[in-house]
Amino acid sequence: MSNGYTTLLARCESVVADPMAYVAEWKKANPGGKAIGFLPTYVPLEPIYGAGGLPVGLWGGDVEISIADAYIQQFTCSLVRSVTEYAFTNAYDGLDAVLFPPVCDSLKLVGSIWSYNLAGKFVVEMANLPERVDSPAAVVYLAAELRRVAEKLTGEPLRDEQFQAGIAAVNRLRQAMNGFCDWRRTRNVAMAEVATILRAGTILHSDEYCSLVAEAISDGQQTVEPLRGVPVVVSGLSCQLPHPGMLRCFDEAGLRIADDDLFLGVRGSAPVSSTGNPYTSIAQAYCRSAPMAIRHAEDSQRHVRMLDQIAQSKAKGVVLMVPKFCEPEWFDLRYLREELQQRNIRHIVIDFEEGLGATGSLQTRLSAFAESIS
Amino acid sequence: MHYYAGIDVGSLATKCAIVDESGNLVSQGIVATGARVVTAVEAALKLAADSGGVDLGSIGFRIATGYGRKRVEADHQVTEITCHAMGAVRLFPGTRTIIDIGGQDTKVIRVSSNGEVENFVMNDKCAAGTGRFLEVMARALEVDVEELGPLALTSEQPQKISSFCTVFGESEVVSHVADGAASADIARGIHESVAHRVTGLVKRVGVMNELTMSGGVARNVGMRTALSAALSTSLNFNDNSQVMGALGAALIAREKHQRGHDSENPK
Ligand code: SF4
Repeated sequence: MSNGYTTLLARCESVVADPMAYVAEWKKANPGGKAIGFLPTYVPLEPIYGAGGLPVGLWGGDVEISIADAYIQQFTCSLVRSVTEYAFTNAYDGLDAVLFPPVCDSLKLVGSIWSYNLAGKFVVEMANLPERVDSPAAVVYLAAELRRVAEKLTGEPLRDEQFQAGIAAVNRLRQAMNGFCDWRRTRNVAMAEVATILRAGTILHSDEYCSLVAEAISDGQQTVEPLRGVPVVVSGLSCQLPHPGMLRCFDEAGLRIADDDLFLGVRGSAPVSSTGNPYTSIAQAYCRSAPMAIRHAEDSQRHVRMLDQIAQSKAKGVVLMVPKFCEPEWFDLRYLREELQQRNIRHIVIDFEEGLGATGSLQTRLSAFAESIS
Repeated sequence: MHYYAGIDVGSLATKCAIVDESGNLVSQGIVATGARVVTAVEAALKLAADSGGVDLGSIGFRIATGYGRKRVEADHQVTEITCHAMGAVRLFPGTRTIIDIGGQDTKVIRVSSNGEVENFVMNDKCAAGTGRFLEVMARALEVDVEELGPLALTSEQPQKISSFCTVFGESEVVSHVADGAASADIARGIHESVAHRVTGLVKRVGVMNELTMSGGVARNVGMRTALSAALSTSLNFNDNSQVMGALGAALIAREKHQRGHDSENPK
């Protein structure tokens, strides 16, 4: 790999290992700038960048749950439990606000718990996204909701040029993340590294991230190297992230993740138009974004995207990753399986949660799947 | 004459099967895995070679499988799911569903007529529905695990063990004992509990006849009886069922060697 890639990976690893150290570093360099944490999978980042702030994706981690269990049930998804543990143990104290998209019961409930108990630490705000995105009313509703949230977070309406700067920054960020995804699909990059680099895109400031990615992927290598492993499409990762050790199990099992839906909430939106009412433009882009478990539309169903990924990547099968206790993903699971079964596409279901545990049986399942489709 | 060996390193036993150039099972060796996998593998291999009169030097290709497969020096490692599928179809050609109850986990495998895996599910999150559950319950009942199955068959009034959890299940067994229930009735309840759990797993891949049992627990007559009743169907089983995975591995070794694919897809 090029020097550019090594630099990108090293920076991303350090930021992902300690996001709040990066927040402190950024605040020092940008006095008065506000760091706004956000929960997966989608919140509008444009007003935050427009106001000169830093959006910080909160994706949880492998933390021992103790205090969080006093507030939420153990049958809540482990992403929500781990971010709550971090929040209640002061790990997010450098944030000025946290934005919740209450797209599932867990986020709805825990958002209220945070705002009730942590109000002294940071502002907690909800961005209420529409679930059905294929009606004109969804755009009108979302535009109004985005205006409300943005004005609450930034304190005053954004000037037009601020907004345009925010839209440009986030369009560039999405382009960088998707450009990196296209680049890595033609190379043998370890999936754990891919996840780290994409995750850092939701923490590092867009300007720094975009220039690091641009440097890394302009390695001058035009030739596509022979790709290792049996290609599979992985679905179900748009909200909760698997432990890097789980991703390494794919590599060790001889499977190559040819395409995926990692960080789709952030990178899956259509580019936001820089003309017209900015709130309407952002709302329109969200309503046209890639389908995920948390949003629905008649004409952009999730399986259509998945079938397209399979065809494009010549995948031999699908791994359906389902976070434990994630009701949106489990709702979609049956329908996705039916679509795959109808087309005789081999697939396997793996449920997962934060933390790694013993990898032996995961390794066996993935290896057996690789053997059966190769 | 060339021979091919399959070595299946399970959590409790290490099994070795040797097949000839035509794929016939020549001999087998089973030893306790113990703490040293390498020693167990050598012993199982030697036992199989000696009992079949096979010179170890004439074994052209070896494949390791089972949970300890990565620690075996072999030409390839293949998962036990693929190997059980291959072995089961060789022993019982009508097999379409395999139930493999091992010491640590339980697998249900849907297989095609030529031994290819079509689908599988695994219970690997806890000991419920595994050989380990039976072991713990046998201890609570103070009987040898080998005796648990035959004991269950003498039951007249089975006692229900309703907890899936091994720890709570053990407490239930202890309280049945304290209440004076007959050991045979408790033993039957234990097998029915495992059968209930495994049936749920089988239904996830769909019951397709013929069903074949593999793995060490297949030797337990009480378990076969309880499962057969829960699934309302008969189960294939014979004395070679415990070496089904090793046999499958040996057959894959033969196939790979004969096709000259020995450098393909090392795992
Ligand atoms: S993983 Fe599922 S349940 Fe958890 S926050 Fe995301 S959408 Fe909600």
